[in-house]
Amino acid sequence: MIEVIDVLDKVIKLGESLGAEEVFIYGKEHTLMSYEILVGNISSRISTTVGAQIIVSIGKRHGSSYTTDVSEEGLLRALSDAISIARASSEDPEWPGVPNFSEKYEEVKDVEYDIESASRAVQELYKSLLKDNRLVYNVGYEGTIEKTFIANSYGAEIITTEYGNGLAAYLSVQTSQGASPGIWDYIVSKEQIVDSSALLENLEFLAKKSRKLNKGKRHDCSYDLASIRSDEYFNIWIFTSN
Amino acid sequence: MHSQHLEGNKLFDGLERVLKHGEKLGLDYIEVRGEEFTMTNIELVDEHINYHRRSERGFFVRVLYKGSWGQSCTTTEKKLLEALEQAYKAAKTSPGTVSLKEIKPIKDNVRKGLKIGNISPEEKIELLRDIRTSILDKDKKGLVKSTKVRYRDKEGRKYIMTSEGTEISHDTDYVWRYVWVSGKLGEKSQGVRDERGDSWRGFKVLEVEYGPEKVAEILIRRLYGQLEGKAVRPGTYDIVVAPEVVGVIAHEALGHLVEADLTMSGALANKLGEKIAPDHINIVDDGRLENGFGTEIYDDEGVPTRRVEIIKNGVLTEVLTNREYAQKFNLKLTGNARAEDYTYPPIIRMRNTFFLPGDYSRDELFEGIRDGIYVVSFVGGQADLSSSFHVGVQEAYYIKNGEIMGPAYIGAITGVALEWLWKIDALANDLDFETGRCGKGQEALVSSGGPHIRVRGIKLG
Repeated sequence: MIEVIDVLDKVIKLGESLGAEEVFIYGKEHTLMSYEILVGNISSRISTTVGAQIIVSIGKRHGSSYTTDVSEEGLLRALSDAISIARASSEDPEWPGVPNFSEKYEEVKDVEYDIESASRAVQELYKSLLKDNRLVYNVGYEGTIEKTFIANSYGAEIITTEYGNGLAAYLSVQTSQGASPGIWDYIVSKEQIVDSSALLENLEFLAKKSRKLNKGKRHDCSYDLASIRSDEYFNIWIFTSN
Repeated sequence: MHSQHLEGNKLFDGLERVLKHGEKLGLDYIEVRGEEFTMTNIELVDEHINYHRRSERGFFVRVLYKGSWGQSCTTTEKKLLEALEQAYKAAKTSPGTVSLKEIKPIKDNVRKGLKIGNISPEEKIELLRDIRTSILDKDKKGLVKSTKVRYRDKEGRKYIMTSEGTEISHDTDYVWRYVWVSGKLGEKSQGVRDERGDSWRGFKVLEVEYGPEKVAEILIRRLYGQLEGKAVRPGTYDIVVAPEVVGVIAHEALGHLVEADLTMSGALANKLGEKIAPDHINIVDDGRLENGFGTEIYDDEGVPTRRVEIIKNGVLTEVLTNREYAQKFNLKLTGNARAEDYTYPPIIRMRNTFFLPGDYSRDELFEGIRDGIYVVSFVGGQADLSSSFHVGVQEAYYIKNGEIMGPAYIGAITGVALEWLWKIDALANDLDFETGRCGKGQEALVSSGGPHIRVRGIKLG
């Protein structure tokens, strides 16, 4: 991914020669590692995807194109697409232009996640939570690493690595009135993920509190599924149990 | 193993290498899905246009090892073997109990030929501008405050190849548009929407069949009705429900209950074969509905799609499955495993879900209703696994002595779908569909619908 940096300057210069007044390139390599127990079913995944977005301005017209092909050829194709889109678009008086900073810096970190440790942490937490006729809807770990690069016509060249991970659980408990609302908590520190007792303690506290507070939940099914068909599109969240 | 691939699908050569490598690793099942597509998104918010295109190519590898799934995704074909190793590593982390319902492997190549690539960016922008212009032209009372028109098209192909010998490729082309109009009358503000997608006929559906004039007429009618409609007095009414709203109830409040991964936890758990509705109620999910937005010939596990009779003559007859759940609960395969794209695993999803028509004419449903409500269109809603639903209403009318009268403002209808089924006393002989996108962690194109139905004794307000 980082080797792409070598061709960014070429892409920007070509864009300018084709009539783009501003070119902005944002690329990302996203690595995901996840391990989840969802309603008792295990799902485990390790993925790496790459992609780059190119935005161009021609006066107050702008166009944007994204590609997963970050080779020189792929980027040039996306550039050509973005330019043709900008030409087809009408002027946008409120278009502020692409970000016009010119910083150069590089911050690359080596981060690795260990799916075996993650799976152990998830399974231990799942087993600990599975009692008192609860529905443990999901217990999951997710770790991500994002390497990004940004370049533009103003000379900016930024390479960064960001990473994050978390262990989360979602459950509900039985009450005399029915199901409690969903109880959810998560932790992100490495130490706490390896030893999830703090998360377990907090979830137990929430479960206890929920058992006391919850009154009059009317559903008698084993867990609820909420579904929203919003003004935009159908959407579903699964959230509580009974 | 796969000595001769389907003509024209060079991608299969690359996928076969992965399968061979997976067999050496001792994997029980290997599935590689490849996809390449170009997607255009345009948004016209009042006068401002945003145009974005994306070209993607990627692969999803799913393996089964000692009863445990491992999954991986990559956008780099050269890293396919690496992705397989990652999926294997993920599968090895814990023992599982997954096994798959047996299928007969199929080799096929499905083409749609929508030719979306032939539509110029200018034509797409013109469509959006025409919709906005038509809306403003029809707004004779000057109540429209803002418009948002969104357009999306996708042109691409997906491929699936498995260690069992499945080898299928199919087009993933579709067009879609969504229009939102907000307006104000005095202190009252309202927004109304219209959404339409098509995956078998293409751009002409948005340009002609559901073109700018038609959508403008619908939205202005809805907006004026919402702004000027008289609020319905709280009470119990006989109501007539139009296909769009019938569809959302079929999909949200009933359809999700019969997705096998959710069924066992919902109100229909252990009710297969039981009478849950009157004899005249029939609900299907039809994977092969002609021109259905959710229609495909095969699902993303290579299983042929078909019409699934969910409720037949009032009896819960079938639920929707993938290979894992069909095996787990000894159910039939239905072809409902769907993945949004190469970044997701296939999960159980509906396709085209609808009530089958009855024998009444539409007009007959209104006869004899002295004081009722005609519910035509919805915006927003929610349902849960008990089949309770809450559906926002964006178009409704009073019914007086069997006649459709002026617009009614009711905000929402609520109920428990499994109780509603027993209150439906008549279904018309018409049939219409709404197209939309269903989210269940990932997006799926779907249709839902049915005939006009009459429901007795519904509490409103």
